[in-house]
Amino acid sequence: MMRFQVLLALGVITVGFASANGPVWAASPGQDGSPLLAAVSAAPDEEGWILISARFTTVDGHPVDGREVRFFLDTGFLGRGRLSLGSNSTDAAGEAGVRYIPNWDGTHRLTAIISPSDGKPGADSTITFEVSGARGPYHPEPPALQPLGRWTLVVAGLMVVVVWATMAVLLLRTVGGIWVAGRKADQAERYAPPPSVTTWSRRQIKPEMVDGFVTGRSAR
Amino acid sequence: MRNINHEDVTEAALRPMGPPGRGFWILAGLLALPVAIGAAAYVYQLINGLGVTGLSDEVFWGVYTSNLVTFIGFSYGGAIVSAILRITHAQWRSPITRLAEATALVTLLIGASFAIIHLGHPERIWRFFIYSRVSSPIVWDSIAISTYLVGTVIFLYILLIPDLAVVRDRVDAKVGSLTRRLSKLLAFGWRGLPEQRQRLQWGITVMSILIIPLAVGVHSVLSWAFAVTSRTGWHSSIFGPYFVVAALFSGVATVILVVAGFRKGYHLERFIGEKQIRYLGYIMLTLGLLYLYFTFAEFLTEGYTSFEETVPVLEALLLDRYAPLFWFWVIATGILPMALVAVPTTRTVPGIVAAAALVVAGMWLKRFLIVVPTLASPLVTGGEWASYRPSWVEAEITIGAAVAIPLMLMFFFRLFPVLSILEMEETETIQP
Repeated sequence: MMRFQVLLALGVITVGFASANGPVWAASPGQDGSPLLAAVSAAPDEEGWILISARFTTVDGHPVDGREVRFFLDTGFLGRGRLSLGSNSTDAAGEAGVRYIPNWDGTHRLTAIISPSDGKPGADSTITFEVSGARGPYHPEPPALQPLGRWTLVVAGLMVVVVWATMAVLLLRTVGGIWVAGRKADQAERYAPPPSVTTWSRRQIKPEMVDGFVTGRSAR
Repeated sequence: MRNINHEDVTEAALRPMGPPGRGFWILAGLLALPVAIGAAAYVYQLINGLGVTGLSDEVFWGVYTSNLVTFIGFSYGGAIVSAILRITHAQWRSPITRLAEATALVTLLIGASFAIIHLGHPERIWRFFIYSRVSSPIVWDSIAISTYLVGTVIFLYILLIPDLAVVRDRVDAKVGSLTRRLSKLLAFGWRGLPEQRQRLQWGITVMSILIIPLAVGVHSVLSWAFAVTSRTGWHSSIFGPYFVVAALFSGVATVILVVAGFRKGYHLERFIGEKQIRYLGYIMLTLGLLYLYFTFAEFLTEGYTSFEETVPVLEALLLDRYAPLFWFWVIATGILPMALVAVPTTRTVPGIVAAAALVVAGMWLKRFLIVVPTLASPLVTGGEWASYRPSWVEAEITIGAAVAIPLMLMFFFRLFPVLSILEMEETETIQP
């Protein structure tokens, strides 16, 4: 396969194609033995997307109309597999396409497939191209939302501070208050004038103490 | 209950603090064995690294993350039983609040420890505080959990103060000198003075209100660690309330098990009646139905739109590789416990306890089914499902952690009264 490099500036994304000069054609035999020809091509548009276009024809050149074409990207991220880019139906010219924005740099291997169904033949074609300057799936907040994001963090932080402050005040006020009240009562009792015999006897003397006093046994 | 006086309650509350009998030590020994095996398994993991677990670069969260979410969820039940019932002045709550609050603390400590157990190099934990990014959900998780932990300790402690004074003042209480010294220290000069009671009431009311949003916040933030990722099955706007309801559901079930266990173990049937367990069963039933509703809502919206990337995980859960576990959960946690509580003939203490046990085990399974299938599912169409099989190390640590809950509670109540004497007086559960 003749390979050449075409570098295209797409805003921040640069795409270099390493493919045949023009659509890549492939033929796949269908179940009824009549093969289809498939050609897939990729071209950048002015918005930074890549237009993936596939054309399917019969061997005698008639376009294949109304068949579903699925587009996949090969990936080795977390295991080998195929990332679905979506699907579309072929039009009267036998063409179907999807738009794709790459989110990683490097070699992209893309396949367009018509699966055999109901006895109709299937076909697929693959194109390979290089991408640089792609944006990842996680990207900075849009400028319009950035102040909101910052304020969300500030508000959440303030809420945490308020909760901790409330708990500190609560602990000090409750436990400290209990302790101070207890101390005050202790001091009041310590410095209070001696109680009258009547008060003292009502508060302190228990029957077993009297019993112990009379019998000579210790009250305790 | 009307014939119970202050003396009866004090004796019962202080009963576990007395010299332990042979039964206590036998049970403690039986419980300590799996805990020790779990600890040994953790040491083995520390020496050999996380490679001894079933975790991989694909399924990097597994049993440990399920445990973290589940055990912290258990603690929520203690908070709701104690705080919400107190705010609403539910009279029947008073004999079970102490058990609920202690359960909240113990389960929270065990749950939070799984954040450390999950680390291959726990000695590098300090890097988390130095290099963390404030926008990371994990940072907010740690802030939320630590705040809730402090709140839970305060909530438990301020309600203990009057009862600690009882331990301090009772000459005839058969408690050790260490317990008595601890009680004297922590009672902070409580004498039951009007001003002290006023301060305590204020503190209890404020803390009861504060602990509810705190608990809701913790579980919401915990859920956002999943929901803010763009992973199928996690990226859901209802994950916050979904997790909160799950925590309440499993938490109330845990409280039922703890209350029933201590009721039986320390012969507290006179104070904790069948009514308390039945009412807890009603709360569990309501929360269970709510959780089923959330589950249905989650699957309905995902299934109805059937985005290409969500279908494989839904299929795996409902029809394929995880379907046996999922439908077992539906029957064992979603239907059977509800039936046990709803049908009058099974609405007995053993029936409700069996329902609670099913809910506790089943809700762990549900967390597992939230964590693992999403990670095991391929990120690309046509990719292979990752496999995750928990290793014996993960199993032993999990069993040890679960068994540590009753063991820690047994020793907790060797130091602190098992019943809230003040609350039982205030709610007129006992005669003055």
